[in-house]
Amino acid sequence: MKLNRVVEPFPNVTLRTQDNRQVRFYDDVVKGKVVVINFMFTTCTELCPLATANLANLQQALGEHAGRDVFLVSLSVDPDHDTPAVLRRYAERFHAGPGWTFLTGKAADIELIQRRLGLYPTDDLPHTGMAVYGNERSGSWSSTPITRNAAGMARIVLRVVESPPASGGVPKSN
Amino acid sequence: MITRRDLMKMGLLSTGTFLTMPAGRVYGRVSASFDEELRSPYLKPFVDRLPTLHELTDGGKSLTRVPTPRLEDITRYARPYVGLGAEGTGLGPDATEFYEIAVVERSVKFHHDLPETPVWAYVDANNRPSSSSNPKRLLSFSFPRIELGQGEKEGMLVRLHNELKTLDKSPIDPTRDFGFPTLTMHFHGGHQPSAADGFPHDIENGGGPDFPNLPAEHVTVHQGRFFDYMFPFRDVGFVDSPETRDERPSFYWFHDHILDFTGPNVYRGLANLAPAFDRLDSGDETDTREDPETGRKALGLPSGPYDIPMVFQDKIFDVSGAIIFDPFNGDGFLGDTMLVNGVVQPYHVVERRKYRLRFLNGSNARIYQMFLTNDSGQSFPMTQIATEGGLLANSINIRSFELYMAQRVEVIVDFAHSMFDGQKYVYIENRMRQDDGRKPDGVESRGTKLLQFRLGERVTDPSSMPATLRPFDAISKTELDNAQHRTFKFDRSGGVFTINGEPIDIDRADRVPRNVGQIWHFENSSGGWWHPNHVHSEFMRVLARNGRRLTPDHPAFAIEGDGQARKDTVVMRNNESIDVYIKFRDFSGPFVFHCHNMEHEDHAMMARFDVE
Repeated sequence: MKLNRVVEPFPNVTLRTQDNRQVRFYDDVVKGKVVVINFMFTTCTELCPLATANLANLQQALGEHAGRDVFLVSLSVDPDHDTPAVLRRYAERFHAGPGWTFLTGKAADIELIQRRLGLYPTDDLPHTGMAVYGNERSGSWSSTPITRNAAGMARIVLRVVESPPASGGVPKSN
Repeated sequence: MITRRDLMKMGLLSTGTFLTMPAGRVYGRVSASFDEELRSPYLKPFVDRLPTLHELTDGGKSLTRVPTPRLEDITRYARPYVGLGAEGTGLGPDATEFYEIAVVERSVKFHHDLPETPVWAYVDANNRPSSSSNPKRLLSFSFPRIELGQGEKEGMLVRLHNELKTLDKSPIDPTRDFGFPTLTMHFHGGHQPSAADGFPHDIENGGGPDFPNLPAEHVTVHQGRFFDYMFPFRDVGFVDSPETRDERPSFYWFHDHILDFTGPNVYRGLANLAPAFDRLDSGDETDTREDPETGRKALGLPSGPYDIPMVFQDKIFDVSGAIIFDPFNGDGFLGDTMLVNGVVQPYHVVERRKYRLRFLNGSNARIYQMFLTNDSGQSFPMTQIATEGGLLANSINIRSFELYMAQRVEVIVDFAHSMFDGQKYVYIENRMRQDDGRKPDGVESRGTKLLQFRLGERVTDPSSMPATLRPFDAISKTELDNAQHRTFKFDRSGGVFTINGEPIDIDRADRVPRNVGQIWHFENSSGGWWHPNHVHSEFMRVLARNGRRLTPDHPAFAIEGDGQARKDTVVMRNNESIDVYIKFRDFSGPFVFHCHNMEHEDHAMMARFDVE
C-alpha cells in the first residue's frame, strides 16, 4: 500500500536566488542538507536587520561547517520588491558567505512555504523572529529564535548534523 | 496529502467509516499546517484493555554484583549522595538499586484495529519485550516501588542506554520520522542532583561541588552511549538542613527533555510512569503501621490493582498505523485520537469498591477538563487526594478538574457507592474543547470519553479514604519576609516565546543561592498563549494568583494553596500571574524552569537557573 505524505512540508516551488539562479525549493535548497531557514524583507527596519546580522554571526560561529554541513536560507516575504539584484546587494551588506542563499519568487509560493514551516505570522509582523532548522536526511526539525546568542545557536544547530561527536555519556564498556 | 477522497480511492474509506462516533468524538482542528481534512482513521473505543505493567527487573544487580569496570563508573558518579558505603550514611553498597533502561525503536499496538506503529520507547534492558510479546504495548514496564525515607534503601541508579539507530532511508518524511536521537531523561517530580535531572543540553560547566567527577557538558546521551542517573529518593533537606519528612512522594513520571526536541521525542513514545511512596502513603491498603518518628499511621489508601496510574495523551495516526507529527507547529501540537497508557480509549474492569485513580497529562499541548460520567451524560463526584506535589493536606470533593500538561491529579472513586448502583459503564470524559495548541476554548456539556470502567461485583474493601491526608504547614511569615524576590515574565515578541525578554540561552543562568527562600513572581504577558510552568528540583508553594493571596477562602486554595497542596507545574492562563515560594535545598548546579506546553518549551520558552 502506497501512502501519500500528509503534507509536503517543503513545497518544491520555483524560486530565484540572489545570483538570479532558478532553483526548486525542495530539490535544490533543502534536500539532503542541514538548513536554517528564515523569512525577511530588505526594506524591513525592525526585526530583519537584527536577524540578518545575527545570521551572519551564526555563519561565522559555524566556522568551517558553514556552507559545508550547514546552509542558511533567507526567503523574502516582499518578493515583488526584493528582486535577485536587491537581495544580492542586501546579502553583500551583511557579508553573507557561501552557503547562504537569499530567495525570491511568487508571493503565493513563499507564503505557502511560510505556512508549511509554521512561520506564518501570528502576531503583528509579516514574518516571525523564528528560524526553522533541521536535517532533511534525518527528519530532525525544530525552530530557534534568530536573535539568540550566535555561538549557542551554532552549537544547537550543529547537533542535528549527522555523525554526532563521540562525546556524551560514558563509553560502553561491553 | 491524504484527503478523504484519496482514502476512498484507495478503498480505505467507506461511507461513514471516518465519522467519529459520539464516544470517540474529538474536537477541533488537528494542527495548523495540516490539511483541515486530515483525521486519524476511526478507531472503535473501548476495544482494548488498559495495559498492566510488569516491574522493572533488578536482574539481581545490586551494585556489588555489577561488573567491576561499571562499578567504578557508578561509584564515581554516585558519590556523595547515596549508599555505596559513602561516609556518614552507614549504608552498604547493597542499599542502592541498579536498573537499566534502553531507548529503542520498536513496534507497538495502540489499538486492536490499527497496524503496528513504530515508536521510540523506554524498555527494561534486562527483560526486553520480546518480539512475540502480545499484545505489544508502548508502556512495557513500571518502576518497582519507589519508597522515600525508608532508611535501609538509598535510592536508585538508573543506567539509560541510547540504542536508537540512525535512519537509513530516503526520502525522509518529517511528519513521520521526527524527533532527535540524542537523549536526556528528566525524572519529573523527583528531587535529584543537577547532573541526574535531565538537563536539556550539554553545557560547559562541568565539575563543581555536587558532581566533582562528572563531565557535566556530557549530560546528553548520544546514540550507542549510556548515562547513569543517580536518584537518591531521599526526603528534602538531607544534605545540611533538618531533613523534612513527608515531602517528596508523588506520582512521578519520566520523559525525554532534549533541548528543542522534547515535544517530538515524548510524542514518539518517550514517557513512562513511576509513582512513589513513603511510610504514610505506603502503597498497602492493609497497612496500619505507625511511623515511629511521626506517630502517624499509614493512610491505607487503595493499593495494588486498585491504584491505577494513567497517562493521558493524544496522537494522530495514519492508516498504516504510523504516528503523525507536525514539527513546524509552534503553538502546540494536538492529536485527534485519545490514549490512556499508550492504548486508544481502553476499558478497565473494576470491582465495586474504592480505587485510587492517578491522572497525568502527558500530552504535548492538550488541556483536559476531566469528569467521571455515564452514557447519559450524568457526572459523578470524585474525591481529590493529590496533585503533582503529592498528597493534599485534606481531601476535597470535586465534580471535575482541569489538567494541564505535566500536571497530575489523584482521586479516590468508590464504585461501591449507591450513586453507581445500576451503572454498568462509567467513563473518564474530557469536556474541554480545544481547537489549537495555544489554549483551550472552554468546557462543554459533552466531551470525549477517554476510558471506560466496566463495573463488576461488589467486594470487601479494606482500604481507607481519610479526610486528613498529609497535613503540612504553610510557609511561615518569617520565611516569607526573609525570602528573595524575582520576577519572570512569560511573553511573546515577534513570534518568539521569551522569559524576561529572552529565549533560553543555555549558557546563561540566573544564580540562586542554595537554602535561601525564594518568592518568584511569574507573569504571563503573552495573551492568547497559556503556559503551565514547571520548575525543576523543588516543589512550589502557590502564594497568590493575580496578586490575590491564596487564603482558604480563595476558590483555588483547595487545589493549589500553600498549606493544602504542593505543585511542580502551575498554569498561567490569559495574562495571569502567580506568586510562588520555593527553596532549593540539597543540590546545587544548573536546573531549568519552562512552559510545559512542549512546543512552547521547544521554542525556547525556558530559563536556566544555577543553584549555588
